Amino acid sequence: MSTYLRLFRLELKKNLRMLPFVALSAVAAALFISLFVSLLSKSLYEEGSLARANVALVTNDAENDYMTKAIRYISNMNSTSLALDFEVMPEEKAMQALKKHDVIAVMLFPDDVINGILWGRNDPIEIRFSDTDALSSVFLSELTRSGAMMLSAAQADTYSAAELYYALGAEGELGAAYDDIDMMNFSYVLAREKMFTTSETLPVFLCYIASAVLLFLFFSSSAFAPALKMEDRSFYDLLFSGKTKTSAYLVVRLLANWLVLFAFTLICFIAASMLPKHSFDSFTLSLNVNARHILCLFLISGFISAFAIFLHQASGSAPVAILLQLTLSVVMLFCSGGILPAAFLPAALRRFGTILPTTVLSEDLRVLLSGEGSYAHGRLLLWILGLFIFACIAFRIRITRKDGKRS
Amino acid sequence: METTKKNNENNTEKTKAGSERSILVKNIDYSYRNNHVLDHLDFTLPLGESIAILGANGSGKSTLLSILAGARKCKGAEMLYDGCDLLKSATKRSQLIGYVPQSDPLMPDMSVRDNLLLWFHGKKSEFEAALQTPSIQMLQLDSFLRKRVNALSGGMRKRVSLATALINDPQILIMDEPAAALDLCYKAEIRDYLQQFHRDGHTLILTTHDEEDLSIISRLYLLRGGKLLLQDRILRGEELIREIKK
Repeated sequence: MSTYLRLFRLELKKNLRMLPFVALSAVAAALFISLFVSLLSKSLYEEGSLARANVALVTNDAENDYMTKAIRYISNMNSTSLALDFEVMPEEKAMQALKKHDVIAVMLFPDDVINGILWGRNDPIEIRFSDTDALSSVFLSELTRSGAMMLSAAQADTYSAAELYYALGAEGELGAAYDDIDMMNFSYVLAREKMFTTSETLPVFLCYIASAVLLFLFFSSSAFAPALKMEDRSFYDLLFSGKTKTSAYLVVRLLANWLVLFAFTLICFIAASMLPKHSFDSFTLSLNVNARHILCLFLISGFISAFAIFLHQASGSAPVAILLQLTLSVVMLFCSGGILPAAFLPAALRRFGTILPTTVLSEDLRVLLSGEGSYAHGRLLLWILGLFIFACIAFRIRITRKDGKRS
Repeated sequence: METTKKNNENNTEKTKAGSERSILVKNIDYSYRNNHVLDHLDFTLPLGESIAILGANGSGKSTLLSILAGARKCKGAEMLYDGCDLLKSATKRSQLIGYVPQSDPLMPDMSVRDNLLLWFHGKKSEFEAALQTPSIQMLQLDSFLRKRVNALSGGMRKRVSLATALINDPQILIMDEPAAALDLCYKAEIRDYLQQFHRDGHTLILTTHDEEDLSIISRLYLLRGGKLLLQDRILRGEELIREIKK
């Protein structure tokens, strides 16, 4: 027993010595992840996307009031304003720009297109894409399709109104009323967008906070690597020549790292709980330090420790273990839908994501952040146990690999 | 072959004669996949002697020492002392034997003191007294007890490794190549410690590739073709090389 206690003391000491490095890597991880999450969430969900693309408009009706309105309308649509800038230019210049990839598409408007729309001729608007820009093409195709649907709804309303004017014998006032009718139609069509609301109470941003916290823990805990690296082979020869068991030795290592990581996580959580409350659309994010949350943090720290211990025993090298820890955490989080929404992933990957531990960790963190839902502690405990068993197997293989056997 | 048989008989006779003051080792048989390095070895280790085991590279010297120290398992082998099989009783073995592997069995990020405390079998309150025992004192560790192992030179580290084995005041010290990777000064220093340890009435078992180490040896074994051959005198120079190469 005294050997285990002494080993525990030494392992604890080793891990505590790593705390300044963990804190440093936590700062670096926080900066990196904030930037990453901010870019990702902005480019996907919010205004002010940093990656913008140009679309050239070729039209002979640029001076037409209706055309100006239409371009202004398209430019200001929520979806297009996120990522697209429209510019009217001559056809030749537009084609040159497409070749040079200065624009992702050229929209060629036929002559008198507005009257065509108003009078139902519907001359098609040709859109040319760059051959090498398949993703943008898809994006713009979807955009124009939805625009066309919206336009057709507005157009149908305009024609209905015109027919009504004719039926009431007020066709003389129709010319003056068109502008008002168009604007009213657009406003009603746009108002329909609000029909589709989500019952989800958690804002999307909260999911990203959970992912960011997970990545933060994985990244900053990688600084424990010097404390978790394997000792020299002769050290183990001597250690296990006595009564010390390999699994008990790994329990000691796991516990020491778990406790120090938990202390670090708890300090970070307490610090975060002191920050001002952050309000989202539907609720206010405020962290409370209570027993349920502390237990959740304890188990999350346990998983990260067991994961790191397993990687160190399986790889046998600290740099490889760090690399694996960083790579696997990002890949697993991606498959769990923590970076891109799971709905965007292929079905097979989505199913695979549900069995990954990062899915459980993300769910627990969302519960912790929102205070709603229930924790999946059982699944997390099973993961910790499973990883520990695999770590023991990997460790035994590694320390006995060079051994022979009795003939 | 005849020499081997003669030597084995010789060993058995000595065992019978002095079983009280010796350790009887039986049936050590070990293979690395297809390489049968130790072939049913039976021999006696008389206590109080200074024993060297010599052999060519890969002959199984380190394997034999690690089996004797209990660091490597060998099914069917026995190591009998005072009616007890030391290979089965880890407690008794750790009381009697101190083992220094070829590379240092130390935690490099920890202090010398922490490393010694880890391998010390007694209570923590007895540790300070253990540091004052003659075998530890001769290693002169006081000046760098609080230094981290990774800040020490190779010679200092070897002294610390030696101290981890001696901290429990064992009767037998098993040391695998004490002079490996050390410069001439450190080699001489370590040799002096070992000689002092032997003079104090302890048993020393070591493997070496350094002929100088034979100056502190009273009994020589050659490990050749999986067999352990007791030499009737301490061979030197060309004669020793010829015997190893045979």
